[in-house]
Formats: sequence, structure tokens, C-alpha cells
Amino acid sequence: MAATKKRDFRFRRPRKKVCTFCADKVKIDYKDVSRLKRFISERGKILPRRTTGTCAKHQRELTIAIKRAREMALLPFVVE
Amino acid sequence: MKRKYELMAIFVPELDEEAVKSEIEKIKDIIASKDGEVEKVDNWGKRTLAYEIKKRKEGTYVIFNFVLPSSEVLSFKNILKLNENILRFMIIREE
Repeated sequence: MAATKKRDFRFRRPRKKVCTFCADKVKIDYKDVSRLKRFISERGKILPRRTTGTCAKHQRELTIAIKRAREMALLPFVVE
Repeated sequence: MKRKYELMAIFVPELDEEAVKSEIEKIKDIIASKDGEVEKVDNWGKRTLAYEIKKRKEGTYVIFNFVLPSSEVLSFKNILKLNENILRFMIIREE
């Protein structure tokens, strides 16, 4: 169809991201700071799924892990 | 009912290695006295905190894995709260 063809041309779909936790089959742990650090911004905020490509299930676990790590001063609440 | 738990404790940086060891033993004794069983103790040593806690910039992290009757957890927490050498602690149930 002509209409869809045009659309495909204009919006190039970015490569589909794969959830790193599904791929590596690792359990999300609040003690694993180096891994968690990849999912927070420079400001210390938790990155959304659309930028990291994490699946919904793992994103839910990830937020809990990051919040636990923050409580124990392993990760910052805010970076000024 | 007995469950598996994990305790992460941050000790004040003023404690030297010996003092930390004796604190670890104290906590082990408390768990044992409450009909619990310590499976693993992991001493991370001194680490810089991500933010200041009670004017301290670093602390000694120790992780305990243990089994404890669920009814004893609250009283265990209350004992830990009274310990001035602990900057912060967290008990988590392991599944």
C-alpha cells in the first residue's frame, strides 16, 4: 500500500531494544550497584523503560531495587 | 514460621576492624538467642556513602543472611535501633 510505504519512509523505526535482565537471566539485586547505576540518569533519577528497553516485569523489580539501594546510601537520591 | 532474611547494616566509620568484628559477633548472638540461625556474613568493609548520614561520609557495610522466626523480627529490629554503632540497617525477606 502506498500510504504505509510513505510512512515507513518518514519514520525510521529504531532497532528494538532487548531487556538486559531477560537476556542475562540475572536476578535484580539492590546490592549490585554497578549494574543499577546504568539505569539512573546523571541526576540520580530512574530512567524510563523507553530509554533503557527494560521489560515491564523487570522495570518493576528494578525500581524497588534502586529505591532500596538509595535507602542504604549505595545510590544517591539526588545528584546536585 | 521460620523465614530467610537478609540484614544490611552500616556501622559508623569510627569503629576499627576489631570493633566491627565484635559488633558482628554481638548481632550473631542476638540472632542465635532468638532461635535463629546465621547462614552467611559478608563484610564489605568501608565504603563511601552516596550521601551523608548523621554527618558521616563513609561507613562499614556488613550483610547477614539468616533464618529467623517471623514473630521475632520486630523485636530484633528494636534491638538494632538501640545500637548507636549502626548508622542504618535494613532487613529484607528473601524469597
